[in-house]
Amino acid sequence: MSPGESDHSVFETMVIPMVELDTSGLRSLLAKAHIGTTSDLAGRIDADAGFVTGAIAAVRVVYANPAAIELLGGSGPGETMGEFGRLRASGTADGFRREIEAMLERRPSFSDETHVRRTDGSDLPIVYTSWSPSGNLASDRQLVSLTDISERVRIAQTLSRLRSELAHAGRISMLGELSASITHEVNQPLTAIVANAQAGLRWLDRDEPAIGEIKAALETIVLAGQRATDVVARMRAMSTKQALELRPLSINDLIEETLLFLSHELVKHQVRVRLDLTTEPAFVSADRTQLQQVLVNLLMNAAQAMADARSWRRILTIRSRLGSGTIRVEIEDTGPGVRAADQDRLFDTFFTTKTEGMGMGLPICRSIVEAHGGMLEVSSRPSLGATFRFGLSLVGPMAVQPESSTTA
Amino acid sequence: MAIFTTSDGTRIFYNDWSSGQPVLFSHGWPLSGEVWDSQMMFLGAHGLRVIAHDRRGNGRSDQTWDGNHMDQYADDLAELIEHLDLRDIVMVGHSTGGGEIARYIGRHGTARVAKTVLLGSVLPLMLRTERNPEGTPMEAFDGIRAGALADRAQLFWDLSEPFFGYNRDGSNISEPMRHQFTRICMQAGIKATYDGIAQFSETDFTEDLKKIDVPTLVAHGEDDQIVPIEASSLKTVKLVPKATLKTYPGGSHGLAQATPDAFNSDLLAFIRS
Repeated sequence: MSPGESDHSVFETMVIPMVELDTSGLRSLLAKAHIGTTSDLAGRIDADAGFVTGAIAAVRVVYANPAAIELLGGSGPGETMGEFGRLRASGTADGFRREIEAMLERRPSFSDETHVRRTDGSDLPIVYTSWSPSGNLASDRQLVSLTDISERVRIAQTLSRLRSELAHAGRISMLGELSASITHEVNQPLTAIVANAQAGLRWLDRDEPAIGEIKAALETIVLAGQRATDVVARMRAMSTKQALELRPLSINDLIEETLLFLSHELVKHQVRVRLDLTTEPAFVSADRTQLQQVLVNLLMNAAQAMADARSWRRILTIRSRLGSGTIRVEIEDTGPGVRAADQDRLFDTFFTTKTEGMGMGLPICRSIVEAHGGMLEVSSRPSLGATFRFGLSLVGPMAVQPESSTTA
Repeated sequence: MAIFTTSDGTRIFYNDWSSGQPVLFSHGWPLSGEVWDSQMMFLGAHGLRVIAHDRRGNGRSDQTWDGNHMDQYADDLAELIEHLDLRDIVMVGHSTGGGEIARYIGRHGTARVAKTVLLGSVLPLMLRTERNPEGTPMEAFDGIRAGALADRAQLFWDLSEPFFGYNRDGSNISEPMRHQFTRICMQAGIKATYDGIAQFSETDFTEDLKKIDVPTLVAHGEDDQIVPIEASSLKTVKLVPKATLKTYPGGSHGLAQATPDAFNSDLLAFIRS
């Protein structure tokens, strides 16, 4: 073995794809630029946006094991060795910056989820782990393992898609349950429209048509038509099937709108609603349809629980409270509550205490709240009622959403 | 002050007014004979003798630690009936009082009874079981027990609202009526109040009902929020041989106090029929 070369025999038969990097060029680049700390690096990048790309070019791949050659494609080591930049997918410069920081801090290793570019130009999602035989990254030789996570990424994307579809199915099912209410809410304005139109015709039929009365009837028709349109719009919004779209929305507004949506159902179940909302404006980054789905589900559960238990006192209290950087929403009922034994199982799929329940509502709600960065919890005083609560981070009303990461 | 002392030394308060065929009233939980004011004034002025007692533990009667159960209520009533030597009685019971009448007949028969009126009664069984799925689940009664122990003034105040249907749009809410209701309920002893809950909710009166072999008026408010009609009167009318059903649209559990007119005339007509 010639001096400066590593013994690669161990890596030849490894199933883990591995490459070896010569980082001596990078280290002299850093020394020349007087970059010794991460703040030095930050300063240099501020002044020169292309610095990291230049740093990548100073690194060379000096060895790739058969597993790596197979991972990256190509017929032989020649296509893999040489420029380190060729291995890196576009848009991964930020990851390399963090690797330089790890070198400057003399850490023993560095790990990152990123992408490599294969010889045919395609991108592959991997876990990139680098370390050095000398024990810290501030040396001229680095070993890097590349673990293919494309299967894992694919599964995560499928999971995300399935969650979305499940939530959608939950909304359709909910609309089914609410169909009697929705029909009633559309029928009421329709009846008013017909009645007022008929009255208008009668007014027209007179020897001296009563213009004032006709005008009033038409105005009522416009209002009633608007109400019916609103109901249909709400229904349509509920039934859309689309991926999570986060936008800043006012929690209190959403709560009040949801109550409007459910007003007929709440009256039907003889439920009195008490609002205890924070007076300060509170915005969260949320998908309006899905968060409303959570509220509808929790409110309907509470109303049904109280009606089913024939509770003499049916009060539904909705609270919103500001915390530090968060808003907490609580939905409290005066129903039979949830037994301690059931509380743990409440969010399990297919668990239900309803005689005709499917047990999907709460798991979907929990999934949606988690997708929004919160946690859905329940507490209960048996026989006196249950409280469901979740917290979400506050954002400014005009907040721009950060781009989602490339890995799911 | 009309007081009758039972064989176990419990003093039972009762009012015994006017003259004619005796109409004997049994009140609900945890109220007192006062709830029958409107019926007693009306019937008393129409040639009937009207008697209303306060069940033990309730109203102006003695509060005992033991004995707050249906069999004892029925036996106390039997002793009062024998003490006054009442015959040809029209027994009128509301809610839990309907249970008291049923258990009286179950244990002592109808020898002294001409007719019965069961208004908003808990019969045959309030509790939801496998064979009684329309009933009310145990959790609801656990909640009432918890409320009775924690703050029963609050419990009764809250109860007065659905009791009289004051939570309905367009109802004529009477604040003084709610205070009156709460006051009467608070007169009952804590032990009798607590024990009474299991008595009205868990007692199965099915066998007692089959023994009511006299004409029976089964009356119920259609909007009774306390004793839902589906689990109670709609079943009672099928179990009592000579029963007729009369329902009151929009009627609350407390219709005898809040909206008495229709019930009063039906009551009089039934007694005279």
